[in-house]
Amino acid sequence: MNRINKDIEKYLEEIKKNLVCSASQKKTVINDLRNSIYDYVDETKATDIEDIYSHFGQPEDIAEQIISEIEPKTVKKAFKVHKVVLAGVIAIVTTFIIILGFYIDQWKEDVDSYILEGPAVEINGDDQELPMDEIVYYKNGVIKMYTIYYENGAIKEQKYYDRDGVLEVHTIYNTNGTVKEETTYKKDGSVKNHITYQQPE
Amino acid sequence: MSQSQENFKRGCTEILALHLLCKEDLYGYQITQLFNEKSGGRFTMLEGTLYLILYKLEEAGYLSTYTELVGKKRTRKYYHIEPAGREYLKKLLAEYDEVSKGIALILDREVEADEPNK
Repeated sequence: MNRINKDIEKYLEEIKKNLVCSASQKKTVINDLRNSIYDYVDETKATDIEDIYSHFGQPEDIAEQIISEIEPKTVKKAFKVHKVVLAGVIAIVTTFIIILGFYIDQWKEDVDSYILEGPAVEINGDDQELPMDEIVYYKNGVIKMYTIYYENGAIKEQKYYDRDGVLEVHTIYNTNGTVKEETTYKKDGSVKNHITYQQPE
Repeated sequence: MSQSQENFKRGCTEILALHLLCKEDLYGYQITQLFNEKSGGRFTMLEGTLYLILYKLEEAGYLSTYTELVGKKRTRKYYHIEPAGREYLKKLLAEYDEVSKGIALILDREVEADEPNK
């Protein structure tokens, strides 16, 4: 009995899919059809969904019969509501895709979009020549990072800027590459934090 | 079943359903079964179509409905004809008689002699 119950529900779902009418009308019709089908099953002891198809008809035909009985203005209204809902869903999805695209662009800009400027870097096996200073830019032309080197090639100073060009972190290094001082700044340019590191003796 | 037969049936369904309900309260499937049995299989109607007609009659106040429990979980919706429905049926039957006589006359079939409709 459970098997035919499931088949009956699938049958009713098929009818529902093809029905164009108001939601309340759809609900009432489907419920009443369900009752009729189960009355038929009780009376005939049908166990095969094919019996239902034979007696009641194909879902599309039933839906068509019902639609032909509904007043045209009700069908038109249901179609209109359907179109409005569909248009709304498309608008929401399109807006979401546009916003997502904007954020993806922004993310890509941060990840792979800086231009290196300063004296050219030549890497030739063991013979490396590092620039005396190095400026890294965001794609929009704002400075991202400014690095000054010691003559021995170790980093002397490094300034890191946010996308609006405001200095965020200023780090000063010892000649051996260890951090000497680090200053972080607030958005308004005032000092947020300053750390001086003790040098090992 | 041809389209013309379907159209004709649709027109008759209100009269037939109301007539059956004059005798006793019935549920949807029962009405379609009675159509089939009493007509000798000549008048069959899909449940979907019948329900829409019954809803219209209910909306107009000619029928009312109530539900009864069937078994443990299922409920069954019964249709009951209201006094307004009985009046409406009388009107429909009078119209049907007139139209039938008119058709029979056109078709040169024998009809009971009576006053022509003014």
